[in-house]
Parts: sequence; C-alpha cells; structure tokens
Amino acid sequence: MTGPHLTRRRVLAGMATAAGAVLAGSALAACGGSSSSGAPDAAGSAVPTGTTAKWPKLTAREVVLAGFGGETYQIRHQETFDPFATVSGARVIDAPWDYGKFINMIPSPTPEWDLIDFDGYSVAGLILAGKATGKLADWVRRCDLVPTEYRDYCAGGYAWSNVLGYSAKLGATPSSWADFFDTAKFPGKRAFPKSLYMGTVEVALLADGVTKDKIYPLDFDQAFAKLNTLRNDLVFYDTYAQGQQYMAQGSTAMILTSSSRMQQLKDDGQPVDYTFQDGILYPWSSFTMPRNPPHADAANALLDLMSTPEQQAAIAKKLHLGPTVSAALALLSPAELAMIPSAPANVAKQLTIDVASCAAQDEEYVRRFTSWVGT
Amino acid sequence: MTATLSPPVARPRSVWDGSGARWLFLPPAVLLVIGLVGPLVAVVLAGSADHGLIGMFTQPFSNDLFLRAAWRTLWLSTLVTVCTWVLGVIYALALGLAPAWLRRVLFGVLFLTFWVSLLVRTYGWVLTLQPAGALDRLVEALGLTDNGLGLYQTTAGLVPAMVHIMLPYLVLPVYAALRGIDPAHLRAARGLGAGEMLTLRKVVLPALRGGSLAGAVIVFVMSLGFYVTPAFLGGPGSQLVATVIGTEFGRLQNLGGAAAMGVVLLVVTLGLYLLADRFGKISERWERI
Repeated sequence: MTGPHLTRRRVLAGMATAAGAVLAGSALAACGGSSSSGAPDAAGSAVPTGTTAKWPKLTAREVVLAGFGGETYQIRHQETFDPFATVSGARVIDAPWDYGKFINMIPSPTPEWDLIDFDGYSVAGLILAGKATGKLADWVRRCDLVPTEYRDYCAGGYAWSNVLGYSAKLGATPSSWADFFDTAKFPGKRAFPKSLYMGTVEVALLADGVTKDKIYPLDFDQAFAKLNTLRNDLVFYDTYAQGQQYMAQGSTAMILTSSSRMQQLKDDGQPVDYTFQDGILYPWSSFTMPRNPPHADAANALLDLMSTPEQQAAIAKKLHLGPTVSAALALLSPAELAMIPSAPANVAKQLTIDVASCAAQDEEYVRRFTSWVGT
Repeated sequence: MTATLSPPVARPRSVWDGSGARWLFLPPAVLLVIGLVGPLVAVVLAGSADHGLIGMFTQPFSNDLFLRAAWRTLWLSTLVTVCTWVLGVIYALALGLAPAWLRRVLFGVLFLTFWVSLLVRTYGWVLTLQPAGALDRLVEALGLTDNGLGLYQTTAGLVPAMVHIMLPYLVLPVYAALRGIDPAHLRAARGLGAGEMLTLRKVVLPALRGGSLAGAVIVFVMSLGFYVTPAFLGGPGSQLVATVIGTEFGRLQNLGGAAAMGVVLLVVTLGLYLLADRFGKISERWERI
C-alpha cells in the first residue's frame, strides 16, 4: 500500500481514481449535509459520537489527499471519506501520489495537497533533516502508538508488513527467508518488487543469518551479495497488483509482498498463504500535511476522525492494516487480530524496522536498490 | 514577385499571398510550440541547469547504468532491426504474391496488431511469456519440457515481442516498393531465361532496397527510444536507455540527470536519422506510401 516510490502505472491508476472521485464527490456534495461542529452523527458508527465536538467551524468544501487509488482507496472512501463529507461538508479529493512533488510542497505557501499517505520513516527523515512536515492542530487527537517525538506530525496512519507469501501447492511450508533463498528445497520462481525497495535488504540480511537485533544499520554490501545468489530465480513485479497476479497465475512459488495483499488473495480463494514469521514490520505510518495545507481545518478534522479507535478498527478489519491507536486493538476479534501485522502475537514473530536507521539510510537504500535492480 | 509574372489562374495561390489562409497554420503551429518545442526547451533547461550545456552531454557517460543501457540499446535495436527486416521483407513478398483472399487476411492480421493498443499487445506478451503462462502451458501440453521456457524478463523473450510490434513499420514501405515494380521487368527477366530465384535476387530485391531501408531506419530509430515493451518484458537487469531515463526521473527524482540522458538520446537519434536520410533518402520513400 504505502511506499515512497511509485510506478507510472500506479500514478495513472491514481489519476483515474481521482477523476472518479471528483464525479462521486460532486454527487455527494449535492445530497450531503453541510453542518459542521456538533452535528448529529448521521453516518452512524463510521463517525463516532462526539468526534466533531472539538472541531472548529469548517468552511472548506474539500480536502485534497495524495494516495494510492485502487481497491484500498475505494474502501477508504466508503469507510471514512464519505461519512466525513456528510458531517463536515468537505469531500475528499484523490490526487496521484508523488514523493518528489510532496517534498516540494512542504515549505510552499500555496501547496496543492492537504494530505499524503506517507511512511513513518519518511516523516522521521524529514524532521531529522530539518524539513519537518506540517504540525497537527492542538485539537486533533494523537495516535499513542506513534513515538512521542513524531506524534505531533503524524495521525491517521497504520502499521503494515512485508511478509513471505507462498503457494499452497508447495510440498513443504516455507517458514523463513532462508527458505525463500533455498531453491533446492523449494523450487520455483520468486516474485520480488522492483519499484518498491522497502524490506528487500532486511530480508536478504535475515536470510544470510544476521540476527534481528543486528540488522541496523543496514550492511548493503552483504545484502546485495546475498540477493545476487537468488537473482536468476527472481521474477520482478512493478505493482502489488502484478505481484498478486503472479501468485494467482502460479508463475511464482513465493513472494515478498505486503501481508494485506496476501490476505486479499486468500480471501479471494486463491491457493496461497503467508507467514508473519520474520516479516518486516513498519509499525506506524501517517497521513501527513505540508506546512500550509490549503484546507487546514478540514484536513485536521479528517485526521482527527481517522485517528479515532472506531475508524482505526474499521480500517484494520477491511484492509488488514494495523491500528496506530492502542484502543482500536481492543475492538478487534481474535480472528481479526491474527490477520493484523501489529497484533502483539505477530509483532513477536517479526522484525520491526528501526525508524531512525531507515530514515538516515533511506537515500542510500533507494540508490543502491535501484542500481542493483538495473544491473 | 513571381506571382505577378505568371497568370493568376494558372498557378495555385500560395498560402502566404495574403488570402487569409495562412491563419490555418496557426493552430498546428501553436500545438507544435506547446506540445513539442516548449517541453523540449524545458528539458534542455533542466539538463543544463544541473550540469551546464556541455556537461549535459558528457555527464550521462559517467553513469555506469546509462552506459550499459546505451550499449545494450544499440545492439538490441540492431538485432531487432535485422530480424524485422528479414521477416518484414518476407511478409511483404507474401502480400505481393498471395491470392486476393489471402492478401486480405495478411493485411487484416497486420493492421489488427497496428490498431490494438501498444499496452494491450505488451500485456498479451506478458501473459504469454510469464512463468506458467500461455506459452509454458503449451510446451508442457506438447510434452516438450516441464520446467517452462523461462523467457519472461529475458532478452530472448523481449526480441520477438519488439519485432512483432515493429513489423508493420517495415512491411508497409517494402510493400509500397513492391507495388512499384514494373511487371514488364519481371516478364523480361523470365523471358531472358532467369529462374525464380534469380529473378528474385536480381530484379525484385534490388527494387525493394530503398523501401526496406526506409522501414529499417524507422524501426531502428523507434527501437532506440522504446519504453513500454522493454519495461514490461525485459528484465530489470537488462534495461534500455528509455527505461533508465524513466527510473532516474520517476524514482530517483533526478530531473537534471534524466533530462541530460533524454537530450543525448534525442541528439543521437536525430543524428542517425539525418545520416540515413542523407544517404538513403528516407523521407522521400515515406512520402510514397
């Protein structure tokens, strides 16, 4: 879902979604309510009672959000953005995600976007580099699973994880990244990301026998030497959707991909499975603002709504992403928790990324990975 | 000027003689400026802002990834051009010799591939070549191999797809040249005792030389900047120049570097085209089609 680097195709998909959203949004504005603070919660459970009490009077008619489109965003509209429009009068407009574009917008007095679906370590890296993103308004509730030093900048996010997915038709069940690299024991191609680099180096180091506490700072030389041993058995995917297609088609026996995408395939009845064992866990992300969002109050109000335990739980149920608010975990059944990367039992199995290390090494990570892929 | 000397009715009026028709040039000219000249200037400015006007041309050659991609692009374009040339000439000859119903079928197949979106054709190749895809299923059903051909994301798998997409650009000019052969020449050759192969070698193929050269240059030039098909079918380890530019721009946010590479590619392509046009009169050939 999340990832700082996107392919042209996903951007196009995002544009298409944005166009759709504009149409849907205008229809919604025509029939939606425009009352703001203290409005009765017309959308039922989607907007928990009392959420709007602290909001100022909202005058904006829209919030522009750069996201990833696709099924994930259809669900976000349905679960969050549509009910938000009903209580706030501001509809959410999708914009195509673009890392470089957002970086330029952060200090701009007139940015185009209000929010972007962003990685936690990206926000951390920007703060460390003195290019901090927009601060939340005082009245926005904070996400207690985000570390305190970033909490005033990050709200509404989720935990996600890159895991080992595999075909259920394999003779044995792979249980570690060493198995992913063992083509003698588990024959077949491996699907590997080529535009989204995150997790790839960590996975190689784990497979090479580095213990979880020794992963950071990342040793790129060791990691890419290990990846070279598997190079001829890799089939690369450009988007998560293409990776899913490889698994559904039976083109690849194993895959490195997000747990939520594997869960989607399983839900669709595909003969695949995945394990959280040694998954690469990104413990929190954020919907992030530039410093002068054009619709600041409405954007803050949306972040406030997205950070309610009820909303966080709804997203966890529908998208299998982890809440960044601890109270949301209590709203999930044991079966739902089992599918969520940040559930305590799953956290214990995984490698949680070191946000500060990832932030510091991000630039080298992108450069080294891109050049390895291109070699 | 000359217009006053010649009788006004005998000579078609120039668009520049004040009739007002010259304004018809305005929309295409504006479109050209907005769509081509403007972006081109922006690209050159972006490239020279980072590296200077000279540095823009030398900087890409210090990038290892670009150098490898440039070399690969050159030989792959050559290979694709040769394959398309051989296949295209045979196809055009078949078009010329086939009975009318078969010619219609052959033209139909050719234009069908021309009309279907490039992206759709490329996805078709993805589904064909990917592991456990259509081709692997076929060879498995035929009992040839159980492990699949492993062509996906390899150069061996990329070449046939590129040839397939380039084929019409070669067949059309060759077919036009074929139609231009005077049947009397063929009758004369046969009348003087030449067999079929000798007629083909001495009469038909020389007459096709110009047309096939025109097609081959177009195929070569298009292959140099090919993006979509290599991006999907080629392995990420065998990138072409266009894909490297795409990565630099979209993933590494290196606008200056991408612009410099783009300008180098444009200059090389234009240079090759002008060279071929100088010696092969390519543009004249295309006017005949």
